[in-house]
Amino acid sequence: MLIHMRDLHRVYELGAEKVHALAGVDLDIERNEYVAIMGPSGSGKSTLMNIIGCLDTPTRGSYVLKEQEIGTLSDDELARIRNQEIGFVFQTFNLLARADALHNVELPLVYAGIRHEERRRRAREALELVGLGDRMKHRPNELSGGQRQRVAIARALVNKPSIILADEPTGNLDTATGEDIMASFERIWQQGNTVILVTHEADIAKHAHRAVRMRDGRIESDVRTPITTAARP
Amino acid sequence: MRPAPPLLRLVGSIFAMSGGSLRAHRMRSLLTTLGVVVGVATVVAMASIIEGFNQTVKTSISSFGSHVIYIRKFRPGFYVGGFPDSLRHRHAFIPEDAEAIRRLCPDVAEVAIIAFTEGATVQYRGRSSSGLQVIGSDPQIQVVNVYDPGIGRFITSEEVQHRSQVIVIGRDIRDALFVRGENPIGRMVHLNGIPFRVIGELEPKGRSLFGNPDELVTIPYTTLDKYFPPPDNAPFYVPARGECYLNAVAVSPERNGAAVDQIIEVLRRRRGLRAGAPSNFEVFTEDALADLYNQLTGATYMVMILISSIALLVGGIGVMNIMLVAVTERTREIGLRKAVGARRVTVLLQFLIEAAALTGIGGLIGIGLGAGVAQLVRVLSKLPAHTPLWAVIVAFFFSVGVGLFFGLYPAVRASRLDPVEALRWE
Repeated sequence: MLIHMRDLHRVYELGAEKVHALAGVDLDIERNEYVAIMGPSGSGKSTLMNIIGCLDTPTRGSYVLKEQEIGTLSDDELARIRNQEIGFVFQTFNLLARADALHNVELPLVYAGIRHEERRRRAREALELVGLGDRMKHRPNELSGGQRQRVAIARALVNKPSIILADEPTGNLDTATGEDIMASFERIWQQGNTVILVTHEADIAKHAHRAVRMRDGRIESDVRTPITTAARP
Repeated sequence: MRPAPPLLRLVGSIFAMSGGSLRAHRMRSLLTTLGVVVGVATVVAMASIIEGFNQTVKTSISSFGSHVIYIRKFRPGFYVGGFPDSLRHRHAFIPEDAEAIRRLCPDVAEVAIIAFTEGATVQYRGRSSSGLQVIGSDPQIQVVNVYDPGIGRFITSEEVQHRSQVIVIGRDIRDALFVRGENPIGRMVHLNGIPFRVIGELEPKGRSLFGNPDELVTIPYTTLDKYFPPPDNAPFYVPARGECYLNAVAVSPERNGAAVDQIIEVLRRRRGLRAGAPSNFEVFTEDALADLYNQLTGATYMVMILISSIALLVGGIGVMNIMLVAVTERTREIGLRKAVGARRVTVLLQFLIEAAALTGIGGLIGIGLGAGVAQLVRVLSKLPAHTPLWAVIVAFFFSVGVGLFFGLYPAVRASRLDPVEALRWE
């Protein structure tokens, strides 16, 4: 079991008002699943994603990631888990504008304390994997939206994390480019990675093989679509 | 799970990041660091100039003879609230005092008479040099102050006795009056219209803090008294007509203290001062001049520290301001860095190093500017200003320190940002 969540709550205090963003979530995700977390805005899917990504911790309940209870960890320990276990892909790419593609992809390895030559080698590999071998020295403003998102995917892959966590990865892209990016995720999943996709678009969610629907801080439905043999490597 | 990497291994990469963001805002960085530049430039320039003075003082003390005992109406120094009348009305000395000291002080090797007037003009065949100080002295000054005639000879006792119109000139005076290669010895020059025969030229000694000996002319003190009595409006430090100052030298440097005591004793007796009554004259050595000098440089250093502290404070506040702006501007970047695994301390270090690099670069520019000003002073004024290494090192580390101090608060703010909030920042 990769992710094991039981009775997960997350309460925000906005002044005197308490907002139950998560109100008792139970969720298990196995290694090499391809899961879409769906739901309208305010359903709690972003909060759930933040907790899965160890950016946030639950107010109550248990989240075990790779046999490790996350709720009790310090900020620095969470940072280390994010560094080693999570690869983020954001809707707005979040690349460093001043740095070229290679350096952007390198960033997680910098914080992992990997030495310079090793970092370069692995960042090049990751960029070649997403088909940007010829764009390594380009800065984000010299790349198209799709290329930028592929740099971000390379960055998410470079540290060989347990989970690729993508938050509306096609939200800022046109449909054709979005399909392109979804094909990349499909490939990444086929290579044995666990992919968790957060989206409100059904078209995008259908690429996944399991759809978790959220509503009012709870899981409304959890549907597995049979994996066709053609999709399996 | 793998353990977190040691922080030290990240420092190099963090340095590289900081450099990148400073390059991205070149103009802003430069303006921000201006306060530090000014502060550091002030320190370095002033330290260089004071260092130049130090060297001048050292050479002047050694060229005047470092063991001269000065016998004066009053001690040089700073008199707060103006020069007191009680000192102003003191009497200087008479040539007989020199004779008595010579006779009665066993530890005094020699005493010389010194009188002077200011603002004289010397002429030779239509060429002239004005604003001169004319020293009236006797042959003993050669021994006491180590005056060597480079060419010709010095004043003799006979010439003192006969009030002879003979003159010993400095190198710069010769250059002003005579064409190159012309032997000045034996020529008649006019000092304030009165004819004098040049008998010698002093060995050049170079500029010093206490005037340039190369710009002096020396005549017998008796001749000075006869032709150039001090005018009624002469400054208080010029000895009155018939009076003079004395310079003495002890038999050996170790006997300096004893010689000073003996001179005081002899002069008190000659002035009929009762035991316990304060002396109405001063006998002091180079140490007193050194004290005066230290007073001077001490005051200069205080002013310098004040000016540069204000500039550094302003610079530091500027750095804090710009770093706070940078933290806000780069909130999303901070969020991303945290998302991909930056720890609090790593983010803190990144911004701290950035601030320190900012002021450090400002410091380097300031050092360059200050050293440049010092060079300019050296070229324009002949003051041997030179930038001491300690000033460079202190200035650099101080400017880095300012960055660390004022950068700490913004860096702490950056490190405490919540990654979820930071990533959502618009």
